[in-house]
Amino acid sequence: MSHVSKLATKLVDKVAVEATLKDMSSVSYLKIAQVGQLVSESAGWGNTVSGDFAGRIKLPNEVGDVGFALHRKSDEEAYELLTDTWGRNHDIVNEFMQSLVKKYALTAAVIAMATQGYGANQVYEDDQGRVHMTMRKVAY
Amino acid sequence: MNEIEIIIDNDGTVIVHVQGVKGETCTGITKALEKILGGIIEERNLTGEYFEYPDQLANGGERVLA
Repeated sequence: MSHVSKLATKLVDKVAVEATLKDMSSVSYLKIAQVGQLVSESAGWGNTVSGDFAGRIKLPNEVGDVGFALHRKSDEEAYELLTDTWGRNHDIVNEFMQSLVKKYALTAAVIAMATQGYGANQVYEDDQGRVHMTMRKVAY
Repeated sequence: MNEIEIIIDNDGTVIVHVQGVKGETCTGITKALEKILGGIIEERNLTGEYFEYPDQLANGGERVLA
């Protein structure tokens, strides 16, 4: 082996964030802002959240949904989740954010390593919920 | 074999394990990954192959012509 690195994940890449949100079954629909604009969604008690992405998170047992936005203040900063975390939404929103970060890491890894000529050879989730992916050089 | 193993924990922590790449090339391979994940390297351990010459220089720096 050559090196082992431990990395934290921050949502910084717009293309990877968009791909991840589109792939999440807990997102009932998604709005994507044009460059220089924002999209908005209502998020509880008359509040509206705005960002580069906006949509709704499905609540369990099909009993409604909660609006959210993902926004970053500048290209150098990470996306932040804006939503209504009041009451029972708190746990659902935390679960959604954790799932988003984990799926983003996988999507981002595939995108980034493809630029180096690597493709996923094997992907599986272990019984602790950790995702394992093996990548090898893709033959052209 | 040149292979990369990536483990993603539930909190988004990513362990990247590059195998079979000699020399400084091995850290270059993962630069794009580090950038797209936000650039926070919490820990890095270089292993034996990192300190080896790439194959074409393994004979002490002389190029081998086929």
